[in-house]
Amino acid sequence: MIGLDGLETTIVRAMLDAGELPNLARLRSSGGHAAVATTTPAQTPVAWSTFATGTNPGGHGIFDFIRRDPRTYLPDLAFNRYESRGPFLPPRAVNLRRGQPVWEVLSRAGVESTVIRCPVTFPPDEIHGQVLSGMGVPDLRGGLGTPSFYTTCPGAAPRESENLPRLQPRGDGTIDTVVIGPRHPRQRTDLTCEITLVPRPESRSLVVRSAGVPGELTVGQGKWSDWLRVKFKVGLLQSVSGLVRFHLVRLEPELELYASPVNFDVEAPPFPLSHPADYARELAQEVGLFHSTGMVEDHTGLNNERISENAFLDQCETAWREREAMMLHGLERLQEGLLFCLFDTPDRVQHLFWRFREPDHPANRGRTARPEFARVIEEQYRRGDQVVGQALEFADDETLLVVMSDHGFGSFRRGANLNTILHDLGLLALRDGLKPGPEAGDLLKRVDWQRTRAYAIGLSGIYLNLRGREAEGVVEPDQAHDLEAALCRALSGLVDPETGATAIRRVRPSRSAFSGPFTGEAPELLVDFAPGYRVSWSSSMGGTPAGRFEDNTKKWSGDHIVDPSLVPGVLFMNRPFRAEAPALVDLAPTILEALGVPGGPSLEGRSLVS
Amino acid sequence: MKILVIGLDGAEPERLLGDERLENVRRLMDAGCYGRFEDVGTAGSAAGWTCLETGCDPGADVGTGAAGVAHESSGPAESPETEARAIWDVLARAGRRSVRLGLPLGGLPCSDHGLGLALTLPWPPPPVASESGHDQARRHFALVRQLLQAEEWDDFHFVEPSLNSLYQALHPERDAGRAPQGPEQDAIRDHYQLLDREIGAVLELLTEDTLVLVVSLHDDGGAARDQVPQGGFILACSALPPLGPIGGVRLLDMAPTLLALAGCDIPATMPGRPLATDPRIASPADPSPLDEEELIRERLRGLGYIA
Repeated sequence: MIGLDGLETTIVRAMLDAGELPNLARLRSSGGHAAVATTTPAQTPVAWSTFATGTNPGGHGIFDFIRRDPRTYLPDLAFNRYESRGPFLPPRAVNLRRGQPVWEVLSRAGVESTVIRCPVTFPPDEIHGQVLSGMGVPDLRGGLGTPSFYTTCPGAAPRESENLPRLQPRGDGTIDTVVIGPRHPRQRTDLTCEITLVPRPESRSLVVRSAGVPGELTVGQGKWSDWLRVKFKVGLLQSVSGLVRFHLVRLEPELELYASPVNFDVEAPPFPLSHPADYARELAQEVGLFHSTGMVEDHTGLNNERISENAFLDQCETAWREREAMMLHGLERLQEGLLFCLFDTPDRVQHLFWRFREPDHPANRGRTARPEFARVIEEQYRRGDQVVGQALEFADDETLLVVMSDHGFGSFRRGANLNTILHDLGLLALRDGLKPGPEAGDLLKRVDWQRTRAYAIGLSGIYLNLRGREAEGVVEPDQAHDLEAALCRALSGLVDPETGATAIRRVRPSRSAFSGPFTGEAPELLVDFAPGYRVSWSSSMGGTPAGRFEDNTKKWSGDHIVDPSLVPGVLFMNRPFRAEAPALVDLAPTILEALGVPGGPSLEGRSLVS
Repeated sequence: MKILVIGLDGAEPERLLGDERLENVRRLMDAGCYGRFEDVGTAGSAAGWTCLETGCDPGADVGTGAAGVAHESSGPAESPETEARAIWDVLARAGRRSVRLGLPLGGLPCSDHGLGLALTLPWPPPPVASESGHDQARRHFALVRQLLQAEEWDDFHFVEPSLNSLYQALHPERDAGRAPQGPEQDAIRDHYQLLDREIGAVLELLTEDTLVLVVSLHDDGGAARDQVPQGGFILACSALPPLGPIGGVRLLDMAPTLLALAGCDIPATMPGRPLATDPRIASPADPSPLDEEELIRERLRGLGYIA
């Protein structure tokens, strides 16, 4: 099974018609091709969790990238959490995806699986076979990727989600600085590793000297370096190892050097990122060191305009090659059982390059037109088609080859400020007489909970401020259904007054979309946005900015968190399959059927190959 | 504050404090202070464990005033100033409950009336072969974990004898100064690592307010070889700063140290110096934790889909 995250059906069809995807065309000829219904909401961790478990989100408990704690109203990552193991031990990572993934069912039947980079597999499932964790693996700092930008420019200020170490050249031109690592677990100060930067203008390169490996690392202007392995001392006797790469943006007139987030060292991770524990090391010895963070492509660097589009695409090609090598390593060893390998890069590229398909996209305002990037997305699809071609070489008559995406893609032009809309409806109030705007802050900090009946945080939902559940809930449980119905009526079909377009197609109760033991953890209401719309940046983090809608001017200009019916995924197989209305819940039963393993009552879908 | 003491009878301090593969031990070392005892008093580990409990060297000359101990009495002390006090006596008067497992209680120069629960193991420990020694340790630690969870305790001391048993069985020639070799060496190395894993499993059960003291006492049959018994310690507590290696500490300093950290008065019968008087320990800087909001922002940094 090959996952090509985010492949959009309309683009795939157009490219198939133009003969630009020969390997997918082969699959279509031998087996078939269909659009596969994605999950509600159409988000990567939700969709792949449904693929893995064969249940709707109510059965696995992943409803969004973000979950919130009703006791504090604060958001957190929905994939995993850390449990204390005591005052003297590092915490334990806990995967928050419940349900039973298909590879566990296979394990119990003695069938081996190799699962490479499926989202929400950190910490990895312990199965008969191998798992390399995917989206959800943090960087060494514990987040999803905090890069560093080094510059000698005196006026530089840190941008979103980045570190900015100040540089002060010495008389000889060398610069002593540090790689910023994790925080000390007790003192909470930054742990650092010293490096010395030695500019070499004559060769347009920079040497990074350190106590790491290698001791001297050279990076050329406009290029990415190899990996540098660095150690951070956690205490007198303990250290943690990480991997970092550099991109030398320029040497003159000011030095600008970008450093990737510090990845877990795949050969010595502080938390297990593979099962068995040494599978990651085995892969590294076979394919070389690789990115371990759950989100490999440095979108922060591009969004912040620290690295160029070309530098980002260079890094994406590295991600493709790493993953290909892992897939081939698995294919060479696959005798029977399941091999799953996900390629995330198409999703990331579409997020950052969608604007080049639409010259009037708000994200292009004030930026130089770059027509050379207009077909980057199609190039990524061709790259994915090459991967399919490699897999086809290994597929014999007894191999079922499935190629799929978890959702499609579209434009993200306008953001909806849900909390502001709720404020306008009188359902959310701010303290101290504040009005929606920058002073309202984020994380719902200035919300007056005693006068608030509904609030939004995360990417897809609206929560009711329920008494008995929320810390300062005011909505009585017996009033909840009426309030939900009122909100559905008020918001469904909501028009953006600036554009005259429908922004919200539909708002519906989550109980109409979900069933299962974890349904109660979902937001009460699901917002299905119309094409071009998504929840705004601020609203996603509990902000209440001014205005109901706003242009999206960030380079993150494509997205998929809209009405799921607008963004189905793609599905190809090398055998004929039931192509009428397949859904992601059908893939787990399909895998089990193909491998002759009975499914269980928790599976909601039907095999596509029976 | 709760006190947990793990005694490793037979553990060589160099090995305990110097083996990088003992991950849980090294975490404790990084979290607190550690070192070799400058003096463990009278030869013989039983005496050493007694000294740990009473802060007195049972073999010392009373006349020197180095330690004044009365021998075992079965009833309450008639003269508190001269009757040796064990840690549990002092804690019991403060309403705290002590549990002892594996301690050589026989011959203790004080009553055991202050003990909440005491379970003894054969002492001195008989020699055992490697697998038996490993099994023995696993059983003992399983019991420790069970008691830690099932019993009410404020002060829990456990002495694990299996390493001493292994040394006796596998390295009887240590009296001659010969180092363990080959399979003996492997078995002993494996046992240290097993003990480290078991310690890790115990650490998982502890709360933030627990002080952990690991003590090793190693006796090479010293009297026969005129060797000085050795010992080492690791002291860690989330309320104490990580001080790293500390010198000049004696075994009989441990009892007053534990009592001082527990907020109790130190009896006059304990001549040792509580480490708590070390200014670095007495007023530790309290690190201000990052608030919850900052931690959340850190966790979500780099997600891409959000601001």
